[in-house]
Amino acid sequence: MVGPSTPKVLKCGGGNVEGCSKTCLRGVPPARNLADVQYGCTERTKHLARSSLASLKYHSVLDLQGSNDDSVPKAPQHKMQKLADETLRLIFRNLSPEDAGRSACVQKSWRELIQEDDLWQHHCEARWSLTDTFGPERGGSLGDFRSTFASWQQSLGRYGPAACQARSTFSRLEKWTQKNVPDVYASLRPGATEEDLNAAEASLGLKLPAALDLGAIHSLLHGLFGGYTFYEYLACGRFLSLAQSIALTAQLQAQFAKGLGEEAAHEAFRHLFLIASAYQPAEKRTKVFFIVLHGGNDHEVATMDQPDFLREFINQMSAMNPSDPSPMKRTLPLIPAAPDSSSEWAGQQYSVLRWFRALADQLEAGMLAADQLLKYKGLPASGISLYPAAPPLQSRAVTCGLEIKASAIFVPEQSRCSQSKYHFAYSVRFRLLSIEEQEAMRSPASLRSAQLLTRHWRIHDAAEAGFEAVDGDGVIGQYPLLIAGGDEYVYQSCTACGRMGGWMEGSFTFIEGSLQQPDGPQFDAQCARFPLDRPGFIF
Amino acid sequence: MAGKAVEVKLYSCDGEDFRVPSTVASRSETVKNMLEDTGEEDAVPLPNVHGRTLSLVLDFCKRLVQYEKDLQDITEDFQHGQLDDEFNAWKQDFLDIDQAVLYELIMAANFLNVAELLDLCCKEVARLIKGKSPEEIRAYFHIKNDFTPQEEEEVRRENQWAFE
Repeated sequence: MVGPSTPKVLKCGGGNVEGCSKTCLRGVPPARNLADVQYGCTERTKHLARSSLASLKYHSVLDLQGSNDDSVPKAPQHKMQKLADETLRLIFRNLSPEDAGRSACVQKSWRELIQEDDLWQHHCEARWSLTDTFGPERGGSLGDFRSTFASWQQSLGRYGPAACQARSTFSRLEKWTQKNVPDVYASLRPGATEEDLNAAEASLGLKLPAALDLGAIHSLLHGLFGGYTFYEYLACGRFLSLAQSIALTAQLQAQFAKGLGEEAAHEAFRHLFLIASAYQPAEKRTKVFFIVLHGGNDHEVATMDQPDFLREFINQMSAMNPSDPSPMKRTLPLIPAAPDSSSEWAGQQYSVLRWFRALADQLEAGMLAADQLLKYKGLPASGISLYPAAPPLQSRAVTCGLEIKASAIFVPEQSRCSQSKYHFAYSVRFRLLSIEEQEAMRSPASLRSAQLLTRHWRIHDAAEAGFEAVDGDGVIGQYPLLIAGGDEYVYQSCTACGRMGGWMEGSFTFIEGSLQQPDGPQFDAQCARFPLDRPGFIF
Repeated sequence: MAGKAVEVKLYSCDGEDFRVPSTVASRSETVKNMLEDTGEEDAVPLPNVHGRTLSLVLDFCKRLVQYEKDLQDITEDFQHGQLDDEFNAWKQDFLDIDQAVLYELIMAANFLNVAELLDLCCKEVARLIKGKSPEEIRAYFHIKNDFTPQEEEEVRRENQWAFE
């Protein structure tokens, strides 16, 4: 049993150690002789211990170092200096970088120890997620971690923890893409510099929120947001470079100027800044992401829901007073892409950062995965697929050894929320398990191959009553033949709903063997329910 | 205390005699090595450690052994946090000592090689440094400024970011 003993200064003896005797041993040899009985005790520690003991104000019973100069009780000034370098390193290691930087200014020996680069390598990694010595601006290596840390700190320290979060998020995105989609990794660009951002603000006549500076710390990315395809449609989102952002924002501004007049268009664009866009084969920008500036640092990332958003937008704009930003929030068909999570940071100040971080979270959690995107004009064949790749948004069912996975994604750019038309694309994956896998699942009979005959969907709106049944031959005009242990067959299609929050489920009729050489009876393979809903974050 | 626990005898530089279970004494790597060399029957002389300090070190080791034993006995996850909280509160009380004693403790933890104690003490010194300017640190720890004015200007410039 250990009592909550409270040792105070100079509580002498072993009084609070149970079983300790307070009695001094009789016949104990003098301490000085004891000191000679060294058990792995080096000369240095011997010296340290002796001098430290000697400097205790309260003198020991035995005069340990009667002949030693140190025996005179001293003011404590030299104590810190007497700590071994190794101990001081341990102390310094426990300091924040700021405290370490200030401690380096205390005295020479501290400075020397604090200058050791190991310490700064640790701080670079911990605060700025850096594993090399590159500074925040373009250019080469700064040579050592101490300068690297100082350089990042000088340039971004004023943004506080959000800047570190931004760095860490980009670092996570880099690591993930490097490992899983090297093409995308290769397309990452260095961040915009502070001068670039200042120039952008000047040319557009708007003030970017501080958080956008953070968003631009590093890569303005190409193809990063991934995409989805269905039929011939491809949406593949990219974060625009700053130059592209300026050019496209200016282009929009010019188009508005035609409809609204120069001054009104200019006013309106004090509140909007285009940051990302998706392309489709006709080279039209189908999906755009804006930063909507609500004044001060209050801003949000949003997309729009209408295919002809420009015309609509102009109509909306001409109906409002452009100098008052509040109707913009109300009347524009904007869909927030990074919803506010009020628990963290203040309001919407960091919505760009939240947006990026949600992407990193979803990639790392396997909710999104690398997959084949439609090949088009040099676009990388593989990218990040935005179809959910894991439960609960992706469903999975296995019938007679036939696995069906399915998930859907909201397609804002083809929806019209104001008219309750919500567009969804869905992706279905068929796979016939290998014979071993089938046996492990104790399927009644092992299937060597199976071919699709018909599909049977039930599409539910969120409303309880009723569903739409869709039955037909094959899928997208095909009758895939699946071989046990062979390739997965994947197809995409789309549907529209009158409400958010619905779901789809269904079954697919397959025949054992193949259509030409049936091997057994037909059977229905189940496709488990998957949601048709607005995602928390839209990419 | 378990009756069977082997007790070992330690004595400090000022001749004070401590009897503690060998599990407690062995939290000091230094003592552990000595015991392995000489056997547990022999008294272990610790010429570098004063009785007052040794008493504190052994208090710590004892509480640490208790904490680790408690950890093994728990059945529910939430108890883990509870034990941590208790131990942390105990450490806070334990560190309610003045600077001179804290240094003695660091010296002793270093010599006796009690990693957990050394770590605790170093964190405590770091806590004392936290938020102080170089001048305040010097005054608090009685440290002499040995920079030349030029050197001081240089080191201040290098670390300017830490003052912002």
